[in-house]
Amino acid sequence: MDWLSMKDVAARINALESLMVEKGLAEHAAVDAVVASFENDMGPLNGARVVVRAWTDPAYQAWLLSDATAAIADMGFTGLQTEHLVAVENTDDVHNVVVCTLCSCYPWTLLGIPPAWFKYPQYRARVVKEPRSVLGEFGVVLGPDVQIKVWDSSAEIRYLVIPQRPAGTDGMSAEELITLVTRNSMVGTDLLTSPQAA
Amino acid sequence: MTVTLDLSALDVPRSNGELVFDAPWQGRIFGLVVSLCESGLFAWDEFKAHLIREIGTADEEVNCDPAVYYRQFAAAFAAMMTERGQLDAFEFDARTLIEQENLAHDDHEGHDHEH
Repeated sequence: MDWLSMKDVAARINALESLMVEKGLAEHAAVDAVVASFENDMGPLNGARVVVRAWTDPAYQAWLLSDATAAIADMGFTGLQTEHLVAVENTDDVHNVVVCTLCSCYPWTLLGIPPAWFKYPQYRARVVKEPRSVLGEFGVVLGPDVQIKVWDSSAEIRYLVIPQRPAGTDGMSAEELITLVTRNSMVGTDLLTSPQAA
Repeated sequence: MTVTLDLSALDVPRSNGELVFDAPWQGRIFGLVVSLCESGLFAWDEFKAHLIREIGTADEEVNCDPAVYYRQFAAAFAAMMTERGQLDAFEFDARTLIEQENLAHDDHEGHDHEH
């Protein structure tokens, strides 16, 4: 069966679902719930909330860096590919970037469904070999002194990058800070910039 | 069978504005696999091994099409369930014919593609 070229893929998928339901293995409502949660509840905003709490609460930041799974559970984020989460912190000296070299492992609960480029073989292969130039293509230009650490999530562990808090944001509220945190910054393919002065 | 996804009423944008699934069937296969994993039918690693195999055997250029990913996802699931003896090829083909008819009846808009 050639799944890549078949024309009736929608019918195939419906057949799989209805057969699984008939066998008592699956429930339509449970499938609905997963789809709805990914379309509505899961996404980078969850990750941004975690990042901003780490920025604004040193005790939480320390907890996140030492036991990320427990620290995000404290905010209600559990399960779904974040059972073994490790948070890595960007600093002036170290920049972290995440890849899944074999498929597309990703912390769904915090970041939602991975973007298309995360699944591309070029990204998966190249970011390991030449991270500096791949990051450059994302617009992330790092000084020669900055060490780049590439984390491969193909094993059980998922990673969350804690981006550096932009300068000039000291007076901002948590809700304002959340709007600054981009999805890519939590994968390591974006740097956050200070909000433009009016 | 509980889906531990109660993330309260967060007003979350769709992946920073990107659509999560390009077509309904992509959401259905993703939801089916995730819900069955959460129900304890299989461990995620078992499914992942099949997914890695599907992605690994495809051409590099093919892998660049985002729509291809969920086809690989479906292929991995079908292969895993066949291996487990929980999906029969004959039954699958027969059910697909029925679902094709259902879709043809549902489709009054004249869409002739799945994207």
